[in-house]
Amino acid sequence: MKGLTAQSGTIMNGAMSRPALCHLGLWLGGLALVLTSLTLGTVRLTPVQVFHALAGHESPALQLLVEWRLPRIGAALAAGAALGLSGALFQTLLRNPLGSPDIIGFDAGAFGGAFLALLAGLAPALVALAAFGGGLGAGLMVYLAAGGLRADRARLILIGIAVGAAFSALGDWMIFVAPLDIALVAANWKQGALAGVDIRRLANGAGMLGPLLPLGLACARSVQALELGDDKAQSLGVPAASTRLRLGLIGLGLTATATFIAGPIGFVALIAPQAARKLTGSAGLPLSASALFGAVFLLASDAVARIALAPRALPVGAVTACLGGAYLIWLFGSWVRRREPLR
Amino acid sequence: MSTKSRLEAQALRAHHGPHEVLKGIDIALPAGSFTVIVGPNACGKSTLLRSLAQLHPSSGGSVLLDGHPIAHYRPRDRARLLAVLPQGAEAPEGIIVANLVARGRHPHRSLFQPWTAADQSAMEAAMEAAGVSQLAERTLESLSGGQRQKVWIAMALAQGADILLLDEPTTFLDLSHQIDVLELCSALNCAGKTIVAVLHDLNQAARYASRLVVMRAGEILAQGLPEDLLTPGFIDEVFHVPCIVIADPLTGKPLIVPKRAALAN
Repeated sequence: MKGLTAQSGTIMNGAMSRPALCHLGLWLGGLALVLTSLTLGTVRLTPVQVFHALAGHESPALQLLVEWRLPRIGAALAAGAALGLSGALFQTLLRNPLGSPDIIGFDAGAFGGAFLALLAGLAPALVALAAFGGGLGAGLMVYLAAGGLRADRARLILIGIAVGAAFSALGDWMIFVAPLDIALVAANWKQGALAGVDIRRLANGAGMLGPLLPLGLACARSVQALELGDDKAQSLGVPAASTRLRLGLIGLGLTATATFIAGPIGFVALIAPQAARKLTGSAGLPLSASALFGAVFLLASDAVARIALAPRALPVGAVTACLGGAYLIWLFGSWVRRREPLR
Repeated sequence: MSTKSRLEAQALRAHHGPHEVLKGIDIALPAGSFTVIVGPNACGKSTLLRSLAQLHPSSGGSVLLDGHPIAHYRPRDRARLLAVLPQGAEAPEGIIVANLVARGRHPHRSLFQPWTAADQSAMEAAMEAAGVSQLAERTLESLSGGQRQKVWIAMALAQGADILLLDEPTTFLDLSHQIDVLELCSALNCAGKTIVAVLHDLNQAARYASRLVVMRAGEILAQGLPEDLLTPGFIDEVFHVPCIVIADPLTGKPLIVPKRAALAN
């Protein structure tokens, strides 16, 4: 049956299903972007030079250049995938395309936690843990302020926006009062800049992503059940409350990881799941495609940030915010066109 | 019809906040029965159904599924025996019927297990039984309310459970779709499913139910055959509607004809 090609994502009738094609396209697009990003910078390289450098056949100087550019690309891919996946998890949990961790303040909370750890001079692994703690704190505040178990989802999102603004202001204030050296690092970090990513921070971030990404992707079945409403999920044998908690914690972990690696970059978690859904034509938010799209989207945004106003580089957060703003206007416009209430 | 009960509640209590909505319910649902729960609004009939299905936490008493406490079942084992059609189930935008029905196979699948031939045939059989095979490629939004309800029933059938619990399956449907859905339930019951439904319309309940359960204010007033229970005096007592009861000319089941207020005296 044709409808089931989307269900199982297998190859049928000799042709690939649309989701499988989208995955392939995203992988190939991502690979092309990685190679393109390696050529970009103050010293422009040709793709051939990049290939040779990666194979170890170039002059030591060029090889070093490529090695310097790799962590930034790795950071964009890792943070983008984490954001895309956590966006899909939270938007499913809150049943609202605005219920994204960057909109409801979880990344601002994660940044606040990480900044406090940075001020205390803690090791990177502890800074990462503090980012998770900050995200969890923001999540708890939003959840409790919205009324706990009986929280209305629309109210939860509005309160999330307020909590996010508060955490963001707190971050600004901490940068203002922090010692100059830390303030400079933090200010750059808060912009959502991939330029400052070093290999140690990336390694720590990858260490968190290692278990979180598969754990998040493994939620696909629970997500499909929860999309039908808590009662229906329960009757399918999915305990709704504990499943929601699990999804929320994994989503928070992913948000914290992305924030730890690249700072609170907005709008990737908001856009990636919806774009992935449109691309794959699936009902509900596709988890793996959201992660892939997030990775490719953030890498592409970073490439734009580096060449748009060259030789001056923009923070990648500024590029995603421009695209995100345009998306929000389109989203609200589509609600108005369909005469839906602004949820 | 076997008299062994599949689902049973003993002294079942439940609360909505501080308000006690089930005040010690004893009920047994025999295998192969079509039980309809009726009662005035807010009498606790939906809560009873939801408590039986473990969708509402009970605050006392017990629910037994095939003789064992239902809480002892693993959720997916329970889901293979008992399927629920709750009120207000949602579906993701743009989902097509076949994919929604396929999601009913959830308790039979696991993370690493691909879609099997058994899943496929169960899904197709469920759509066939619910009469929605023709709609397989349509999106849910493009269907009428009655067709949608049949798709949800098909999904519950794909779950492979013998016991179906339906919470007000005919609400918001027009008359022909109400009859469609009830005829489908009746056909499924004849095919061996044990069915429990909450309904509002007493005449429909009388026509389709093999057992009627009448509730008021969190308690069961009476249960039994519709023709034994539905007397003018009893209906007036429970629903405060003076009426006469005649035999349905088609089925011989009780047919309730309310008296007009001016003629009541």
